[in-house]
Amino acid sequence: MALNDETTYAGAIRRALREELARDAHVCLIGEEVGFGAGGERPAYGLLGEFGPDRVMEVPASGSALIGAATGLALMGLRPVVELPFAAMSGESFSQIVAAAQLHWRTAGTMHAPLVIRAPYGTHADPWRATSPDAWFAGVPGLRIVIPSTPFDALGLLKAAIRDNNPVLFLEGHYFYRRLREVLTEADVLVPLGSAEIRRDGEDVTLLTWGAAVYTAMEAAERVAVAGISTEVIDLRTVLPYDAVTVAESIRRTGRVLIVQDAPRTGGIGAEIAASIAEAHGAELRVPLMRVAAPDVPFPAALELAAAFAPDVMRVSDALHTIMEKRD
Amino acid sequence: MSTPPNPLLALYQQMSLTRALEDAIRDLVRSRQILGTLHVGRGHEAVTTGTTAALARGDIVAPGGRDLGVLLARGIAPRQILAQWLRRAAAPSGGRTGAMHFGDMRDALVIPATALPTLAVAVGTALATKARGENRVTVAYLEDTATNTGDFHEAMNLAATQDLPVICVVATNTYVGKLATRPYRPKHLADRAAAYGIPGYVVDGGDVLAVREAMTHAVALARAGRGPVLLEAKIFRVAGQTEADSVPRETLDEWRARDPIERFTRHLLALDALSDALTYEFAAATLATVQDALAYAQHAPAPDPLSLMDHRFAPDDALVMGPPVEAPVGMTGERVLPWR
Repeated sequence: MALNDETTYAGAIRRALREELARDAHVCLIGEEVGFGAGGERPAYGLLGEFGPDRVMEVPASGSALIGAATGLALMGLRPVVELPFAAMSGESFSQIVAAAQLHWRTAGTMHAPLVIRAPYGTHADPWRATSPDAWFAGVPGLRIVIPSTPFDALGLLKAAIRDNNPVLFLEGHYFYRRLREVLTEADVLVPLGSAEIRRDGEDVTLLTWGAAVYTAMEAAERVAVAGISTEVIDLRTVLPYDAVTVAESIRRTGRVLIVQDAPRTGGIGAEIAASIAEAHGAELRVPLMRVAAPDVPFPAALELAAAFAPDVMRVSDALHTIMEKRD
Repeated sequence: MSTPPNPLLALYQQMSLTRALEDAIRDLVRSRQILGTLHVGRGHEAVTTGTTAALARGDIVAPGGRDLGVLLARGIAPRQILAQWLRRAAAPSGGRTGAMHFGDMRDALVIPATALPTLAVAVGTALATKARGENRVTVAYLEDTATNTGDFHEAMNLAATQDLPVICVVATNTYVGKLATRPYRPKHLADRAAAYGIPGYVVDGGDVLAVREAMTHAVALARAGRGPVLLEAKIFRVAGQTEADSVPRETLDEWRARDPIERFTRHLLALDALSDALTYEFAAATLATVQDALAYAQHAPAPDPLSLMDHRFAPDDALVMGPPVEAPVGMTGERVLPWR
């Protein structure tokens, strides 16, 4: 790979799958569009021809049986990566995902289920396909939820998720597949699960976000910098369990917290993080923390409606101004 | 208790122990030493004993909540079973789960999840054995009403499309809840096999030898690569859905006449394989096993509250930049299946 070659987000996922399939003979893929049915855009495209049907299992997609079968593969010592056609289909898989997440605990460590559930969200097709199910699973003990926002993170987090011994829900921004590009190192990349990344250093306010909202947050941070507001943008990357250490360290310096979430406000990931911060750092906060979130409606299809749904740069920069104007 | 040389007597012994151990659990529930209730398996003994008798050691089983006999066949000790029901620290789960929820892949035993058919997980273990070229079958145990779930349909379709070596054993007793209802339309649930293009068989689930014979046939088909089999065992559960249910006297009398253990006892006596003296000897040995387990479990310590937070996540030992990992070892390798 020449240095000037850029890898797309989907390409980074494909590279992670290919590298881990090649590295560890226990790794296998299972899903409906992981084989010959996979179009060129799909991350698993071409892997069936490369690794054969015993490693890349093309099966009919049905949400519950896919996760159940992956659990069975994992119990037999394999490390399955399941692909759901779209993330909201995890609703059909709910009981099986919870059962897999409980497995290690309820057998007192005798069993474990190292499986990765890859699930794209955020297509603009309809509200159901667009939905990110992160909040549905936020209260499931034993589960990890990962939402990478860059090709590098998609590569490193997916490889780490495959090597992890627990069930991981790996939420891919479908919108990112071809739109995000990045020059990636040829070295073996691992991004530890549960580690946040500071995307932008700042002194005045800690902005916590993840997924597509990272880009909105970065643009808003640049805009308010002109007005002298120094914003630290933290991309959580893993939202369950999240990196409380990095968050705490930042809050101690800034004393101000803004959470930006491009999902409905009520019961979202941001709600739990806000509550945890209020409990752990209430005395260190100079002003009450704030949230910018989507309203409590489903994700809309039309771009005009979508613009009104997700937090935009204007709303986030307004919130940054507001939080700085609040008296200490 | 030693295993008798006559294989028929081994079946008799396992059925008797299953019944006696479940009776001990029932008594613990009735005397409120166990929280919750028991999903009664009285009348299932010929199904669990007859099917497991047709399996090889490396075959994988995924039992449900009434399949105590399958656990015993897989070597789960009566002491462990009663310790689990009493939520003791010494139970394999350390008191984290109750009921018949045992699982350990060293015993090729898949743990059930409450109210969720393990059939889909069984399909996954069969996918693994097929991908590795291992000649093992997986058996999932369901009760009749589990075939009404979407999970059953999804899993059967997946197993059928992939020609997987899965045997789905359905124990049919239409007595659900407090009243006999009609939870499904077909006369035989085995007919549901046609929807997946796979063979379905009906067997008298009160006849342990008939069950063993039907299961031997089903296992042969699955091992030969012919895909999944649905085996429906018609049974009479000699009690209600749970220990809490009341059953009309005349229904109980009818069921008792068809009790699988009494039927098999009559058969063995007619064959002269069993005598009154031998029956007494077996009963005494079974009783001693159950009483030993009961004494052990009742005196075993409760779990330490501090253990609640253990095993939240499996250790991250895999997150290393290691060399390539070797291909999995097949069923002949002790690494995969070190038998206890």
